[in-house]
Amino acid sequence: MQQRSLRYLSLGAAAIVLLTLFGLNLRFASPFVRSWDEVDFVLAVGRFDLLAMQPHFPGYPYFIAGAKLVHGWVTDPVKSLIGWNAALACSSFIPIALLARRYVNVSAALWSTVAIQSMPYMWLMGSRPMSECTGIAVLWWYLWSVRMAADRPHSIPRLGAALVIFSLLMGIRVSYFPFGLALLVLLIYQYRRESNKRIGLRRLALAITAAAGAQLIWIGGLAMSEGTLQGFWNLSMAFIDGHFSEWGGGVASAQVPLGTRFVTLVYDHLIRDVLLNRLAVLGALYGCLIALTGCGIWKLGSSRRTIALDGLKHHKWLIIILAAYGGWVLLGQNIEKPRHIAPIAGPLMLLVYVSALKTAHWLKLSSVTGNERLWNKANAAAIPFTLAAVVIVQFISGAQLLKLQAEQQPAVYQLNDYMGALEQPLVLYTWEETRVLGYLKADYEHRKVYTYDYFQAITSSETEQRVYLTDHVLNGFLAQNKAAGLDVVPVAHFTSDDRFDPVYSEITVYEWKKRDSDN
Amino acid sequence: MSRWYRYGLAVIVLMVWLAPVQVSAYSYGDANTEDVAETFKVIAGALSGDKADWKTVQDTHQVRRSEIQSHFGESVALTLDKNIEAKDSKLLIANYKAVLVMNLDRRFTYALKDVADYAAAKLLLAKAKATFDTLAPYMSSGTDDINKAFDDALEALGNPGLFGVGEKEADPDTFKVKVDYIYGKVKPSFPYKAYVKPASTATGSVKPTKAPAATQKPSATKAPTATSKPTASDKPVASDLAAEETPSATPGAEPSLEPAESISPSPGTTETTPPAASGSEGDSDELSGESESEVSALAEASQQGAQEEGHAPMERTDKTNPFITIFVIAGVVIVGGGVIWFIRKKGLL
Repeated sequence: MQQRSLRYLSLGAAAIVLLTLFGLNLRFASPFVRSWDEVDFVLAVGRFDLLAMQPHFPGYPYFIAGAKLVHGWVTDPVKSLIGWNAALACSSFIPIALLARRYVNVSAALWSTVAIQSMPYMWLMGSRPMSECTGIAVLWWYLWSVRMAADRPHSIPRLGAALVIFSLLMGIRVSYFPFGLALLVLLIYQYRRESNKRIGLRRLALAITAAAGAQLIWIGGLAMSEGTLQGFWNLSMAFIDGHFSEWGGGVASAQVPLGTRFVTLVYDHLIRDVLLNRLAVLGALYGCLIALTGCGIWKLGSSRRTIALDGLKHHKWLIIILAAYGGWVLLGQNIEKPRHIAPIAGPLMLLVYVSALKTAHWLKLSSVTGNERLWNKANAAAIPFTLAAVVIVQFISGAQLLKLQAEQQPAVYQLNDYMGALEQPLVLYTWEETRVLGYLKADYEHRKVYTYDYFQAITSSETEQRVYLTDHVLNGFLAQNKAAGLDVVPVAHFTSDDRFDPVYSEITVYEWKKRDSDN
Repeated sequence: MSRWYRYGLAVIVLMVWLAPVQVSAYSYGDANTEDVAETFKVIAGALSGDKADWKTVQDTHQVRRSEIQSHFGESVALTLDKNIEAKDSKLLIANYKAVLVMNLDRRFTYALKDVADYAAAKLLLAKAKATFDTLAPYMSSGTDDINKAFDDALEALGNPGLFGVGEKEADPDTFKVKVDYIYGKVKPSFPYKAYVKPASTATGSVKPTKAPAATQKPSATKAPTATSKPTASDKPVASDLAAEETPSATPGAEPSLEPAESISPSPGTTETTPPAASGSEGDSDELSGESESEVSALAEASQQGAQEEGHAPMERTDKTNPFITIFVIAGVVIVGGGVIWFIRKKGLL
């Protein structure tokens, strides 16, 4: 009886924590639009226009459509996006718990879910107008639907659901396409299970057709947002052409070697920023958890070990697609932004938690006697306690960061305030900051510039204007011409937390002093 | 079950093998750029600083020459050639700015023609905006109003909405008023000085400068037709070699509401067939397609630009385009899966 009420208590507490996470997401919704990409999304809620880069290519149609839906009740487009993000993030606890439930009991599954959902990095994304949060939430539903379809290889509805959810995922973030590998693995698996190869082949063909058809829904919606198919085609061609006449050229994009990229991605981004959120204590707890689990598995002996490792064994498909996605991020995504690697953090931690709790379960039941039995029990008890500590640390630090994210002025906002207070006429040269300044309706002139030569050509014509430039511009110039640094004087410096603004967390403004000899 | 690892790894290896060249540092191109304006930026950049880089100027101009010649006339292209030949950087930049004004007019004219075609009109407006953004640093005031007018013009094009949400009707009249306003504001700041051949070489029929303006039908929406007219370089000049050529640059007058004036048929807006003897390397094929939609001409020009990339002087970043990346990878996944399936079927694995 007591056991039972304890279980209900545990379940109830987990549910309350999950709802609190959602509530705090809404309560501390970030009012700031920090980056170029965020501006794109926010503007798209008001007016969807691919050409005007609201949003940028390839459109994120379901993400924007959902936010537009919320926009019916919420006037602020930023809050609409956040509301949509938070709601989907909240919904994703269902597939996470269902996936975990396959290997551990209900209570353990729910607490694993809490530990995943309260990871500060993930949690914070629910309060920002970015597409990652919704993407990751739908990714969870997708992973669950693939697992369900694998259970019953002959069920058409289950396979259909997986195909449709994959189409939803692509309609939110195309960059998650490597996860489609799971569908491929599923189809091969189902084909192999089918004894009648003709039926299997027909099924395979049908599934591929259905998958393509499902993708066409959002592509079609996107195309129609340009009025006609022809118009969409012309626009696409213009985008392709745009890459040939990229902004006067000369962008100093130093190629980072692959090894450095790998270290940045795995250590700096995945482990330090996304998983640990730069908290040493969290690192220690994760270390404890993994050590306890490893120790437990070793002590279980060969017979039990295989059962304890069930969780990992049945998740080979998951490991494959996570590796595939990781490879794609390593090679194809902007290495400056940690958010690209974020989707693999959740499933990775799910594997860790499930293995840990499963090990604890078998340790408790292990049949050895005497001292060793006591030792095993202690080991088994320590695992849930460590997990609880992880949840508590994550929750507290996450809540603090959430508040900070909603209150700390981003460096770009500070820049805008500073420039707005200066005496006009002036012109500020920037890189991507211009997008945010434009969103903030800055009333001074600001312009994106990449090449030093062109900058010189236009500054020499603006004799009456004072000229300012940001450090990103200056560093770009210095890469092109060492002499660019001779005429600048730093006038102001702004900082914000680089966990929120990975690229533009530090901005220095320089004033450009015109040389008299030139004029 | 370890087979699954093998399958997975095989597919990943295939992807990695085929993908990296395509995907490294992938980024989306920007459709909101205008080739003529980009050319101008390179030229202006090359002429700034302590010593002008005339080689870059020459090469860059050569890439864009046929587009300029086909849309604004041989005389304009020739004028720029001669400015470069004379190494007169001030005049060249002034004239290139005037060419940008002509380009603004070209984009507006076709946008007005295609105003019912949302996507085409929007793209042309974006090209016009890119042109204006290039001119903006050289305008002392009024750029805010013009930017606002661009926003209003875009708004006036309507919107088909996303999945039907946010649908909006187009308002061609407002659009026309806005683009006329912009053109009227920009045009006076950038006069064009046509090159004139020395009198001894001037041949053919002699016509006053204003004559084409008077005969031109004063409709802004009309597509300029390719007519055989004397080129501007044939016109007589009083004394100067360089003739002022801005009939609509009357300050104080309100040109925005007067289509005949705001779309004044300067040599820039008139399609002139290049004389056969002009000896220019521009292909006259492009002119025959002029009655087609401007967008297709745009695509042509871009293809041409792509072909010429080999010796284009513009430095280009290694940006790959997303479509190809996605299609290549999707193709790789499908083909790779098929190969593995086939190998399995043959029992080789």
